[in-house]
Amino acid sequence: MRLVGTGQNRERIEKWVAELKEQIDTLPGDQVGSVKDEQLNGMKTALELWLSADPKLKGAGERSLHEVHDGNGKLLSAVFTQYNRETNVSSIESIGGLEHASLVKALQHMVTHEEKDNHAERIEMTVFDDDTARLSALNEVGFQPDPGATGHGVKVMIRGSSTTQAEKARAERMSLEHQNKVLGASQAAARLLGYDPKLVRISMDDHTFDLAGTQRHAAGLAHLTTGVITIFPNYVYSTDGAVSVTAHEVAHQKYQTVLNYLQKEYEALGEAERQAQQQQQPPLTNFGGELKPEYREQFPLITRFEKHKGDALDRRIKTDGITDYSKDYWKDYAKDKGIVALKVASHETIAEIARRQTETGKIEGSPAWRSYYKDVMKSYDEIQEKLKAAKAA
Amino acid sequence: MIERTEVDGKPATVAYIDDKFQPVEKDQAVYIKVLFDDGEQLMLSAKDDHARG
Repeated sequence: MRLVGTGQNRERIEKWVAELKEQIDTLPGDQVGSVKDEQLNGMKTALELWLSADPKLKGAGERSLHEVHDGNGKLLSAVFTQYNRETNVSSIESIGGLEHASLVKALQHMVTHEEKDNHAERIEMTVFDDDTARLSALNEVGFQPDPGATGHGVKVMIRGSSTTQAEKARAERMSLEHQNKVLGASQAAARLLGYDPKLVRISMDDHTFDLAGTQRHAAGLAHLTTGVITIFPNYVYSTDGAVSVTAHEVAHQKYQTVLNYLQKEYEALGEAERQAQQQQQPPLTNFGGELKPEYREQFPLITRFEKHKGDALDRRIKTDGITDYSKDYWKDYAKDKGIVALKVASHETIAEIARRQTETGKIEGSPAWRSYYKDVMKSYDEIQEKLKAAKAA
Repeated sequence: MIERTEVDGKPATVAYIDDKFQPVEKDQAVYIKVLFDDGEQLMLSAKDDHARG
């Protein structure tokens, strides 16, 4: 005779715990770690979990014990489960039985309770690969291995949906919440760096790039022509990450914009010099290549950035970057002192000063770098003002 | 870790960094910073899936 109980008699449960402890403690040495040892411990733990569970959760049926005993009151098997209301999933926390049939009976009783009373969409238990006693009992009551969560010596055995409606809804909520957080953090970073936050957008599209034969997903993109910065929340994993990625994008946008306008001024200066020479007029620059004072207003960027050339550039190279990240680029530049490496190292240092600015609110770095950074930012703002004025005219 | 390579067939300098923007080896990277020689730049995810850290 096999009778089923749900732990209503505390005195009996405590007696079984004591008996099981005695049995475990007196097991012969060659049976320690045996299947019997595992099953006795499984039953004992199930009963102990039940005894220590929150009475309110027990009353609500969210913590449950299902035990099977014989006509003489001898415990044959026990299962303890807990139900998660948020995910609508029940999990078996401990199970043990002296025989297969009793184990199956306790499991069947548990399944009825979780599915009929709690309406759990899934019941699950993690079991060692070699735990054949539990695996065969779980199989018999309709549990299957979850292929997405199995490996490393264990099997996650499930009955019901591998993803519940509640889990799907939660994932959607979290995804939307994550998107909003990423957008908020990115726009805040842009605003802090004096960049129009409306130009920072998020996209759930998947933008892929081939990096040395491996497909990689974009986390952040800057569109130089439009100024739009796109952040991809699926590949930005935290708000800190969003701030850092945006700070880099903003700084690169600003710096490259200024470099492009500076280049345009140099091209215009070259053309003006050529015309002056043709017309046998005096050159616009002096012997050292510096603009003559009367042309400074005509070429404001060249004028501003003249002080950042020569010795100032040497000082920036010597004081390298402000973080380990940007210092690495200067180490790379030191190898061959190439123009591309110099440009890249400068870009990354500017980006890191901007990133640190979003963290500390300060412009960090050596005096040479701080001065250069401030002039880049000031020049960008002036370029934008001029563009706005030209558009309004 | 910084290296010269090609991204979508364009020459670029790439750096492997963690979520604190510290330089790390490729297998520990969370992001890959790409700076193309023409000044364009982008940030790639170094993770293969959508898992969030």
